[in-house]
Amino acid sequence: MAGGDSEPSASSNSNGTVEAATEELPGEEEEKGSGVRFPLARIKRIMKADPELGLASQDAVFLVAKATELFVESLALEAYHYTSQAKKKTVSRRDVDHCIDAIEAMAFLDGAMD
Amino acid sequence: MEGAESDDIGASFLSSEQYMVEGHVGHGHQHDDEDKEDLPHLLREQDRFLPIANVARIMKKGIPKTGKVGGNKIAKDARECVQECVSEFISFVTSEASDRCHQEKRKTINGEDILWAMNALGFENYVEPLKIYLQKFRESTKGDKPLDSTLEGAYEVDFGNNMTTFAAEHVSQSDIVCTYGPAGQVSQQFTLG
Repeated sequence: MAGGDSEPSASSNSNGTVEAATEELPGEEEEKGSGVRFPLARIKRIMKADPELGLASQDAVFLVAKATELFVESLALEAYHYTSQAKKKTVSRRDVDHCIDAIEAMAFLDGAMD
Repeated sequence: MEGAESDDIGASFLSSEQYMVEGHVGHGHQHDDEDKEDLPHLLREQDRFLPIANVARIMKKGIPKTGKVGGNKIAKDARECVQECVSEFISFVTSEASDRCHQEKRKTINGEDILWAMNALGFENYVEPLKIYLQKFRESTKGDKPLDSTLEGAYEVDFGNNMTTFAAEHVSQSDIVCTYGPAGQVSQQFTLG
């Protein structure tokens, strides 16, 4: 088990994709102490923009924050699949758009990105 | 586990931040102009989006790195696009949870509402990891600790073994090992001791 050191290591999983250990830069070390990587206050503010929203419990805000993190990771990875299909190294906006079209759960983003 | 206790904590915590928004029934978040008149402070750029740096960092975490120098990069417009998507996502989930809450004649959306919304909206693969995070979160906020969005504990990521370990100091000897694939598929196990 890595003790928080930042040596990259790579191993192939069964799909043949390479997964590497995250290189956490020293400046990011403080993030590790937190279970949440997005500022909760900002999350709350965005939630508040919905005028129909009443009160939200701490749990709710926390879960939205974590779900958002998972969402970003998933979206990035899905976009990356298109990037690598096109044999590119840089994930582009087009790759992200591609995901929005292709993934049913992302359909809510359709038309929101114009 | 769930129930009034968390709501009380949540309400007392959140009321100090004037969390409750009343009125304006029937307006969606697109109606920026109308909202601006009444709640001008809510619609600044920084209030509508999460910080781009955080978004970028988490995107990087989600994609594989190659063995080559430089690795994979993410274009600026891709980051910005995801940043916008994120706000949409939050609104989408919140709205769904809020609807359910109203249907059940409750005023406060709670964790269960969010999890329910995840399921309803096609993000069911997030539910299991979220439940685990929530459990740790609750344990760390017992005793009315103020929420500064930090959990005291080490959160270590080992992508080589596709594992994320969260060890919370309060919970002394227990480690939670949660494994989930990059697209959110789940298998998790608890290790105690």
